[in-house]
Amino acid sequence: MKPPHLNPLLLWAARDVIRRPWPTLLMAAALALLLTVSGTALLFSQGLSQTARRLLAHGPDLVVRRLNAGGWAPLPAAEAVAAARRVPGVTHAQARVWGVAAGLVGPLMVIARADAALPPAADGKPLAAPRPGEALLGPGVDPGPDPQRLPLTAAAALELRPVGRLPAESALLGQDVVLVHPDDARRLLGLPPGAAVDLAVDVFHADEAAAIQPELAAAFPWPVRITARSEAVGLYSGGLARRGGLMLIAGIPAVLALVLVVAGAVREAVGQRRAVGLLKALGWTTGEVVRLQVCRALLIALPAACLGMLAAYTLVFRPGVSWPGSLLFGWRTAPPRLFLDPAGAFLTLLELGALVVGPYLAAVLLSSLQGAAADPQDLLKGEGLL
Amino acid sequence: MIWHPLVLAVVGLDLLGLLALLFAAATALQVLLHWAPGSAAAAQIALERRAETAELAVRCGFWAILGASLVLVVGITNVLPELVPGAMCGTGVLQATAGSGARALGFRFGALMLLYGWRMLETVNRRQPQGTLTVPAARLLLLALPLALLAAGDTLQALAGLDVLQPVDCCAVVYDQFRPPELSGRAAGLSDELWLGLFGGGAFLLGVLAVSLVRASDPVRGRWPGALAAASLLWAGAAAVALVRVLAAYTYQVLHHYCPWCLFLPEHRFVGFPLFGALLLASLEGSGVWMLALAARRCGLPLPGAAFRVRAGARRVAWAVAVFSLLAVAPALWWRWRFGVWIGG
Amino acid sequence: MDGLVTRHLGLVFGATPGSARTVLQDVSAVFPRGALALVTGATGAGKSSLLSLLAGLLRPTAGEVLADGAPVSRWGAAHRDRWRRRVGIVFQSANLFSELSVLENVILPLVPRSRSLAALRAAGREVLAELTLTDLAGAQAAQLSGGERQRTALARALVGRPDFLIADEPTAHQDPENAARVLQALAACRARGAVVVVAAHDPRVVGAGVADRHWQLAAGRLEAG
Repeated sequence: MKPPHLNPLLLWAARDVIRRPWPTLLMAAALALLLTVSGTALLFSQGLSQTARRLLAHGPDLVVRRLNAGGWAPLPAAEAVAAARRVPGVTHAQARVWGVAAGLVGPLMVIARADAALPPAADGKPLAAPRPGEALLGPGVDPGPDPQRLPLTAAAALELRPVGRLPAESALLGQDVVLVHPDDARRLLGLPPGAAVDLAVDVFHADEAAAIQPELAAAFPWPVRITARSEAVGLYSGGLARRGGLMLIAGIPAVLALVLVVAGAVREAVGQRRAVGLLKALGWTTGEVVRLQVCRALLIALPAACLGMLAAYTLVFRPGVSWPGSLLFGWRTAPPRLFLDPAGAFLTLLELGALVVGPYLAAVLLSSLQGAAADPQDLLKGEGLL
Repeated sequence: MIWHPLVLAVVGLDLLGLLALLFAAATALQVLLHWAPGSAAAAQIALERRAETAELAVRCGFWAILGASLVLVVGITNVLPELVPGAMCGTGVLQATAGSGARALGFRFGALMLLYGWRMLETVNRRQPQGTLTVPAARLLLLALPLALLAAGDTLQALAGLDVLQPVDCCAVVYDQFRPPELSGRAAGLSDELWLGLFGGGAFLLGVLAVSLVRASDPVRGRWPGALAAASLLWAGAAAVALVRVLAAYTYQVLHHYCPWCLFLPEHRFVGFPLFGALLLASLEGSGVWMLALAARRCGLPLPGAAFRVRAGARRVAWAVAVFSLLAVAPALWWRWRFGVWIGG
Repeated sequence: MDGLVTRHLGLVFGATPGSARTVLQDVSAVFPRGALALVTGATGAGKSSLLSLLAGLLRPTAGEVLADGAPVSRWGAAHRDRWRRRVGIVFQSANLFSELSVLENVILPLVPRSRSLAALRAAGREVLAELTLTDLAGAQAAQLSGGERQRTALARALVGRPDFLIADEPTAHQDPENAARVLQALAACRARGAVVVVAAHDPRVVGAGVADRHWQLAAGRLEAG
């Protein structure tokens, strides 16, 4: 079978590109780097926000905490659950025990977990809820020099035996989490038996969460503060938007770099007047000269854009990526491994690609048009001879 | 401003189109002032070269603005209704743009019409060794530029001011057109039957005009091109009204839903795109034929290729009329055949 | 009329009356198809300018150039570009792209209009063989000697089988053997029915007797030699 004929003009453009490897590589690297940097910033912000939204969607509709004159106060778990369940529209209520304790390396989030619904462990084995004296460790928890002992200190000091580790995929939520038996948690956090920190409440219709709040508050014999999921989402979204704003600052050098890339393209296209004059003398038309230059620019820009976008995607969405924790959040020890949600990333990359490659190609096109206005007389100028 | 990819695409394409047109307009101005065909002066040679690149730029600009317009219509009809509360089709979206959206579409039509005429002139001009039509083409470009600027400005204003918080009422806009029984069934003071008659009669007249132009020995001279332009523009208007007032009912299968934008929705198989596309083509070709014939007559020289392009334009008008008529009338005929009555009696 | 015809051709350089310099005046001549015309004259007589006018590279300030009856000298720049596809030009200084190979330089005029680069290369190799440049096909133009450059330029002019061949000093820097090959290639082009116009003051060209017509250019005026 005969190989298909490629357009000679395209092949000629490819040869031209290869003929000048260093300027080509420089331009391609600049475009790819520009896309990698700005793409990483944009995708990270978007991926984090998307993942946080997805995770928060699994949280309770309402969280109830008891208040007293000094601030937060523990609530009696059974009584609180019963009171909440009496409110029409409440489908589920669960008392939660959690708090912060000091580990050997740093602060850790201690959560009491008595039910058996846990994801498989890091090694793939099923995880059972911790029994008294046992602890399940988050992916980033460092128990200290002895892996068989986890000393924790809060209201009281406690030493637990690690029996398993949560999977790496849970790092975004459970990086520094220690799951313990409720009795151990209460002891550690100084809670009386049967007490809980707060109450997680689910309602029949998520949209009714706001409407149900006054009734729910009235159901408890003590003052409470109720937080809806939408408030939590708003809080996170606000934080992520601020971070996204900071990312835009990173966009300023990116825009400057784009301006430089575009200026480079303009300079290169305009500086070829004499060569264009010779091509015209040999029978090339203006359209053919412009086509050659646009082909050349496409051959540089498209692979560079693909490479830049691929790099940005890999940097952000590679499962278990850990650089953002240390670089962006200042997490010094064992930064969390992130498993971000890539939904919508393709469209974002496409947009970004168009925003970077578009101006470059527009600059090449317009400057090519400017440069292609050369005449064979330009070639003859200075020589005066044929 | 919402940073939807579609909005960015429209703004980006518009910007590219405007840059290209501005680049070319600078040359067009020089052409109007200093064009001296055949002169050996370096300035004239340079101007000829710049005119060449300006031509390429305007071609790019034309496609960019056409592309932006198409993306905008796709957005108005099928994407932005999801973002505007209460909008079910383009009617609601245009309502949320507070008038600038409709104005932008109008300016776009004007700019595209002049640029299409420019393209027809340049197609013929490329065959003239001395660039006989360069000056009229430059004039046309300078006329199109303000319209393109206004179109881009209004589009930006419409997209920036798109109110995605305030609900709109699509149906109210459409059904507010309900009037007392004695006034229903009339648009712009004319009865629906008359609009239908204008559409049918106009289609026939355009067919006759197109055939006359194709058969004329010298289609550039005479009044045929002007008549074709006027007829195609008037017919496009009448056909649009007849479509919305009468024929669309057979697509919607409901009475009194006088909405042009719902025709672009997937539930109606996007039939609005070919229908209004045919109307656009008929008006662009019709007016382009007239602009070309006018320029050719004024230059007073025989222009190789002009007659060919005029005939091709007349043929395209005829095809566009045929396609529109078929697409618009076929559902009505099918309905009549299937149920034995016309909708509305 | 077939061929190239000049009618009362004039060329003045400089826009202002004070700086104006008349290069050619009232040049009327016929360069028919299937004939090789030789234009001789002293340095600065206007030979290259005349050739530039004939090739459509310059526009005359007076008179006109007709190619096969068409007034190409009055055509717009874009049309002259397209017409120049039928013209093979050998510049006095070869005007090669130094970063391209010899073969690439030769096929350059045909690149935008060819359907296959392989076919183009074959055509290029054929014409390089005629001028004994096959061994240099892959060499960079920058590495060539003056004579090789000029023959490469001639190969570039011949590759498209032009209807009009305009050559300025094609035998410059050539040894006798290669000068003979160049003259042979010009004669072959003429035999195909092309108009061949050669400007030279190389006595080998004048003495070779290949010219069908001989024109003498002196002080901007053309006279039969």
